[in-house]
Amino acid sequence: MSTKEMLMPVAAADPIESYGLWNLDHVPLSPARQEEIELLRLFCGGPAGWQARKLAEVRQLFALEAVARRLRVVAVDVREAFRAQIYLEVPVACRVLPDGPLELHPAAMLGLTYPEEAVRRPMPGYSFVEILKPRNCWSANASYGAVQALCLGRSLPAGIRVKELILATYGALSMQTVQLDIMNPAGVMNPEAAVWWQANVDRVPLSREPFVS
Amino acid sequence: MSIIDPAVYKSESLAAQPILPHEIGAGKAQSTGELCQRLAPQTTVQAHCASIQDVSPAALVRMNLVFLATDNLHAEVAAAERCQQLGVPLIQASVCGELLVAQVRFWSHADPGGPCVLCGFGSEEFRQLDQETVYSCQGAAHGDVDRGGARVAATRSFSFLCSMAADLALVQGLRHWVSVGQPVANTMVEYCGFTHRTVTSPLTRRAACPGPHERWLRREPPRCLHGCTPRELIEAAMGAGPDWRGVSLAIDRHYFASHGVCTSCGRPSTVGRFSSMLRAVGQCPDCGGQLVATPFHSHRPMPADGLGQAMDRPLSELVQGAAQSVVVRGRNLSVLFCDPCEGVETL
Repeated sequence: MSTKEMLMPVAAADPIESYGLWNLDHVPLSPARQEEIELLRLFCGGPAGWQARKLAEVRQLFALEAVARRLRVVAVDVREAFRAQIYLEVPVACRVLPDGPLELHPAAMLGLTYPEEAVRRPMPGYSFVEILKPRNCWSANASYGAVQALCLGRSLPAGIRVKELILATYGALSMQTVQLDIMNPAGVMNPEAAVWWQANVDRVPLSREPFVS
Repeated sequence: MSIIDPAVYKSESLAAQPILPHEIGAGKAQSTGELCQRLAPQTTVQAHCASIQDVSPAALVRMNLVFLATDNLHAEVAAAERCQQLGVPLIQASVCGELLVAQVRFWSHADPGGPCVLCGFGSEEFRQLDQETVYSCQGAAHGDVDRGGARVAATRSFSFLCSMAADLALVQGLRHWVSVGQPVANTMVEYCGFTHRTVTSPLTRRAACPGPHERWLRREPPRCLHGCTPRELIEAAMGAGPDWRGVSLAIDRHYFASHGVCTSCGRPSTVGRFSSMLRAVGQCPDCGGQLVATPFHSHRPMPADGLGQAMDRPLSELVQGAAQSVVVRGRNLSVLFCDPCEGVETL
């Protein structure tokens, strides 16, 4: 596809397969999702600029859901911080005990929190995404314990878009992007898992499928 | 007078700052505050050995003027944002060593629609903000380096230039206090050592500024904060309900933990409390283990319509520690309540 074609908005009548990550803003939403955005508008809190940003992120998240069949938006909260509960089909490595067998779960339930301050200042990479299910994730980039924070890098730039967080989450969980160096301060949340994956690097990545496939 | 600085004196501080060896390891704010108190015993001096982000708004609310001379953009933005929310004028002194320039900016914050610190940021400043750049005097010896992931840039300045900037800041403060000469509100003064010229230019609002440009009104709570319920404070700020859509509540730097997870049995539980930490927010009702708040279920600020039964419980039952300030934020109005019963802790 040429650059010119990529920049052209796709007509609303085009099938959903015509859309991709490059033109999410033009993806037609289902009437149910459009109604949901209008409902969220009533409860949206904060300064006007932050309200507009949150609603724009909601629209883009719903568009991403329409384009990528592996993603389902379970719930969205825009009263203060932008919060979304997301079901993502991605292989997740788990170990009930740190010395037990490795299990692969087919999907994850994620809690995404985007605070207002993240619009203006860079945030640590573990600030945004929490793995709600499954428990006992065995990843170098996810903390192992009651709270499973997923680290997407040392620091993420101010104003990062929600879709980029989701793509980075998919990359981290499927281990298409992985950081296993325990001496590197960027992103190792579970040093034991990092060492384990270094010894089992032949099992990386867990999936080679692209996010939109 | 309140002094805020999280840093402590190190041995190398002896060479550059007027301290004695026994002060090594002491907090800069504490040490400087004690000196100010000795020089002016009648002055009420407070010292906060913490970053500006961690200091309660109550500490700044009584101030007439804030002087800012920080070494990193994060603290600069946080201080400026807080001063704008409180409507407190801010004077910032800074230097550019390579150009021998001392610069003083004065934001009056008289109008939330006026200029803020982010209005003057260009792409370079935003890039450095993203890199969490710290302008360190120590960086001068090592060049620009990465320390713990953050970029440390050398200040490359001279002590005379820094003191020149401080003196210019005091001149601006004095002119503002006694209203002499041309108004200094929303102006920038730059002195260049190469040309010995001083230039004054206006600070203006940028239409596309990403800053919140928010102002908090100040109101008295119905009684001491620890005895107030969230409902009373929200009603005092916004009027009687029942529709509090878009209204939220923030207590100091606390999170409202709606749910937590047991560190022993892993079961989720309802918490419903404000806490400054996400750890140790309660006990598991099933096994008695420690509950940790999950980030996804921790809110700061907390939407009013999510408080549930906590809406009618006094803050003494809801908050771990004493609440010093509460901000109730609606769509078009934000109100700050400071605790009238909280004494000022002085040196």
